[in-house]
Amino acid sequence: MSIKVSDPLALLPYQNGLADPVLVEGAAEAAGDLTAKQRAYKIGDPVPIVFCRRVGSNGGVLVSPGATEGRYQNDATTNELTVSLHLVLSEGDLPTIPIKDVFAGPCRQGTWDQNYDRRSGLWTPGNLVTTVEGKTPWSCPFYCGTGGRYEDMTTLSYVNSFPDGSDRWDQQVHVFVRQGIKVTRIIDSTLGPSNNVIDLALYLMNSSGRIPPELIDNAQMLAAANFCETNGFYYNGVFKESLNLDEWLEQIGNDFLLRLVEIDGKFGFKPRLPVNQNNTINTSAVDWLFTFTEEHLLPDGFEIQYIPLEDRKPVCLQMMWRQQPDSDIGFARTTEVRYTGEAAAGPFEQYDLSQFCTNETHAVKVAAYRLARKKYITHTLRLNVRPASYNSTLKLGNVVRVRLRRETATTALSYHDFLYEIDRIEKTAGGACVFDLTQLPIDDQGRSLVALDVVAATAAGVQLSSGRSNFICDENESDDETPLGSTGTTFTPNPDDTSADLPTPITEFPGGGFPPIGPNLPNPIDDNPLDPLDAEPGGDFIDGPSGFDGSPGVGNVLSVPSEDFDGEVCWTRVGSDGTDTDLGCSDTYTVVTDDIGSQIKASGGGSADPATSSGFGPDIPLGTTQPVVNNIEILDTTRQKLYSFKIEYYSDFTKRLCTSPFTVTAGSQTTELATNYNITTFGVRIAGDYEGSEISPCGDTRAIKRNAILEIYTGTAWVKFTSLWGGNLTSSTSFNETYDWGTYFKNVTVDGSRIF
Amino acid sequence: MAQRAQSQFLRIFDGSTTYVRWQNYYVNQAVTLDSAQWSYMPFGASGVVESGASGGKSVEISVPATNIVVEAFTYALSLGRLCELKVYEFSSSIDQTAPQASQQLIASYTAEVVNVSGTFTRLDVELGSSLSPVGAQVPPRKFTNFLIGAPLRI
Repeated sequence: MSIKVSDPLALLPYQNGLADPVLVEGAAEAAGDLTAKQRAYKIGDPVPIVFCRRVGSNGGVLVSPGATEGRYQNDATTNELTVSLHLVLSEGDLPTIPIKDVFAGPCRQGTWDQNYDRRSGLWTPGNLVTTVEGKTPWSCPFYCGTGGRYEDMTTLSYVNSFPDGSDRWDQQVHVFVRQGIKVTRIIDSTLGPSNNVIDLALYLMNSSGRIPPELIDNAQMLAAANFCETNGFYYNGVFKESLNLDEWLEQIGNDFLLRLVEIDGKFGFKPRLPVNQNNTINTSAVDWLFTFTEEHLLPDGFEIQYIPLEDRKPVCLQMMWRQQPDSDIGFARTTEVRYTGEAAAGPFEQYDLSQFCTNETHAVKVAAYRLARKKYITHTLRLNVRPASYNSTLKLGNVVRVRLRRETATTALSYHDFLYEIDRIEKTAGGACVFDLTQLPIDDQGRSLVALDVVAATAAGVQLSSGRSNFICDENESDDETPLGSTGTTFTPNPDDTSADLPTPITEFPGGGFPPIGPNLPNPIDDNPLDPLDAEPGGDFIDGPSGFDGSPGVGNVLSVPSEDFDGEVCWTRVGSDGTDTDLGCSDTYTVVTDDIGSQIKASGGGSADPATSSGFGPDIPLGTTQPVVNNIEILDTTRQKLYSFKIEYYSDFTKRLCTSPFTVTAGSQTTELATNYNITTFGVRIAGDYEGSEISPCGDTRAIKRNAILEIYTGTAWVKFTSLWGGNLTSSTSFNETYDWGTYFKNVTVDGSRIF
Repeated sequence: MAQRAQSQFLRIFDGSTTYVRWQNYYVNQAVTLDSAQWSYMPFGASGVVESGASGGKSVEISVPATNIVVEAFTYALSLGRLCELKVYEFSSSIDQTAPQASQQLIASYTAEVVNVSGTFTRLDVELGSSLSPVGAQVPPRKFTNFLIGAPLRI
C-alpha cells in the first residue's frame, strides 16, 4: 500500500530549519564531572569516534574513555593499590598523545601506553587484592575483562598507584585529544586529522554503508567544506551517541549554517547563506535567476503561509560552547545572543554546541543566523507554475523573484514582490513545476538581511579562567610533550568463537522469467483439497442401470434414492442428436426400447424450501445415464454378444485408450457389420462411405499404428484380442482395395472361437 | 506549450555495468542517446522532487510486469543496484523519431530501488535512499566480544 501526501506548506519552516525544533534544555555536553567513577564499556555500546583537529589555540576535545579490562593489586604490607586499566579511546588511528594530555580524574598522573589495532600494555587483567591486617580492604571489581582483538581502534593502557585509603583509585580517566582520527580530508585530499564537519559526514556516510558512493555529491560536499573552513566553523568532538544518520546530517547542518540537500538523488550540503566565490558570506546585493509573474502561474498556483507568532517572538539565545585551553581541561561556556533592546529578561532558548564547538564566534554566528531568520522572514510560498525554461535551470537554493500584480481597484495596484530562496522543487510528470520558496529578506540595497547580521555578529572573545585553584595533584608535567609509550600486544581471538557464518549466498535470483518451483519438486497444483461447497448443485444419483459402464438396459428401473434427493424427480430422454423428450415426473422410470441409444436424464425440483411457492428450491440436475443399450439377453450368438468395445492403440508414440462407442467408418460394408456382428446396435456407430473408411476411436483421427489391441465386452468380461491386422487402419489408400473385416481383425477370437 | 514534450530514460546500473536502458517516448523502437541504445518500455514516472527535507524524496515508477522487468527490478532490489531516471524536454514539432540534439535535461534522479510492489501485470517501483529516517545507524561499529572480549564489569 502506498499513501502519498504532499507536505503541507506550513511544515516548510520546520523542514528548512527556519522554525526551531523542540528544545531539550539541560547541562552542556562538555560539562561532565571530572571525578566521576570510571566507566566501563558494555557489549553493544557504540565505538566512539574522536573527530577533532587543534589548529592554533582552537580545537581538540576532552575524551573520557571507558575501560574494557582492569587489574587491581595491592601491596601486602602498605596496602598501596595499583590500578591498571585498558581503555578504548576511539575508532581509527589517532596520532600519539603527549603525556601532558592524559588525566586521572583532574590530575595528570599515571603511566600510559597508546596503540592502534592492538591491546595496549602487557599486564593481565584480574583482581589480586588481598586483605592487609589493620588496613581497610579495597573493594575492586572482580570481573576484570578478558581482552579482545581491538581491531581498528586506538587503545590506551593506564597504570597508577594509590596509597592506602585513597578514594581516587576509581576516578574516571580523561584524555585531551588534539588530533582525532585520520580521514582523507576533502579539501586537501590528505590523510590526517580533520575538524571539518563535512569530512565527518563523509566518513559516517561511507562507514555506515547506508549510502552508495555514487549517491554522494562530492562537488557540493567540497563547496560546503570550503564554506566551513573559510568561516571558521569547526567540529571538535566525540561522536559516541547512537544516532540516526539522516537526522544527524540535518541537525548538524543547521549548526554549521549548512542545508542538507538531495539534488538529482545525491546527498550534499549547501550553505544557508549566499556566498562569494571565495566562500565568504556574500553581503552585497543578491542577484536572482528568474522572476515569476502572473504569466507563469497555473490556476490556484499561489499558496502563502506566514510564520506563526510563536516562532517570531524576540528571544535571547543561550549558546553553549566549549572553551578549550591549551594546557588545561576544557569547560562549557555560554554566550547570550539577542538583538539590542529585545528579550533582555528572556525568553531564553538554549542551544548546546559544546559537544563540538570550541569557537565562540561560531556559536555567535549560528545564533545570529537563527535570530535574523526569526526577525526578518515573514512567510513561505508554494508556486505551481507551468513548464518553462526554468525547468532545466533552477536548482535548490537558487534565488528567484516573485512579482505578482494585486489589483483590488482600477486605481489601486500593488505588487507582491519579494525575493525567495528555493527550498523544494517538484517536477511533476505532467510538466508543471511546484516550487516551495522561503522569503529572502533584503534591505533597500538588495542585500540579504540575514547575511548582514551573521557577518556582523562577533564574539566578545573573553577567555574565562577554568577556576582551577592549583596543580598539586599533577605528577606529570603540564608541558611534558613526551609521547605515551607504545607497549602492547596483539591478541588474536578466533573469530569462529564469536561469529556464525552462513553459507555463501546465491547471487542468481529467480526473476519473473523463471518458474519459482523447480522441476524436481512435486507439482502441487493437483493436490488441492476439494471444497464440497464449490461443487455444482445436484450430482449423479441415478440408481438402476445394470449394463456395461453403468449403461442402462431396456427394462431397467431407474430411481433417485431418497437420501440423495427428497423432492419430485422428473425424467427426460436425451437423444443422440441432442433433442429432449419429456418422460414425466415420478419416483422411478422404467427404460423402454425407444430409449436405446439415448441418455436418460433425471432432474428435481430442488430440496424442500418453504420460502418458495412450490415448496421446492430451483431445479437441480440429479444425473444423466450412459446411452441405453440393448440387453445382453436378446443376443443369441457369440458374435451378437459383442455390444461394447475398448481399443487400446498406439498413436504418436503414445499409448491411448478408447472405450466404445467409437466411430467405425466402413463404407459399403455397413450392412455386413450390422448384420453379421450386430455392432451397430451395441454402441458402434457406422457412418460414411467406402472412400472414408477408418476407425476413429473417440474421435481421434490420428493414425492407428500397428499392433493395436482390441478388447471386446462379451457380456461377462472384457476379452483382449491380439494379432490384429498389422496395417495402418486410417490410411484409406492402403486398405481400400482389400477391405475385408476378416483382414482387419485377423485371428480375432472370443473364448477360443474365432469371430473375425 | 503545445510543442513541449517530455521523454524519460531509465537505466539500472551497478558500478560501471549497465543492465537495462529503457525509454518511454519513442514507441516500439530503440533510440541512441549518449552513445547507448535505449529500448522502448512503456513505464511512467512520478514527479522528481529536489528537497532538503528528510524523507519524501522518492520517485515512483510504474512499469508493465513483463519477465524482463520483473527480473531486472528483482535483481536491483536484491543486489542494491542503482537506478537513474532522466527527464528530457524538447520540441515535439521538430522530430519525434529520435532524441534531438537540442533537448534539455530537466531532471535527473539517481537512487536505489528501495521498494517494489504492484499487481501481476504491473510493478510499482520506488526509487529512493536506503538511508532510513528512523533507527540508529551511526557510529557504525559497536563493541563486540571479538573486539573487546568479555569486558570489565564495574
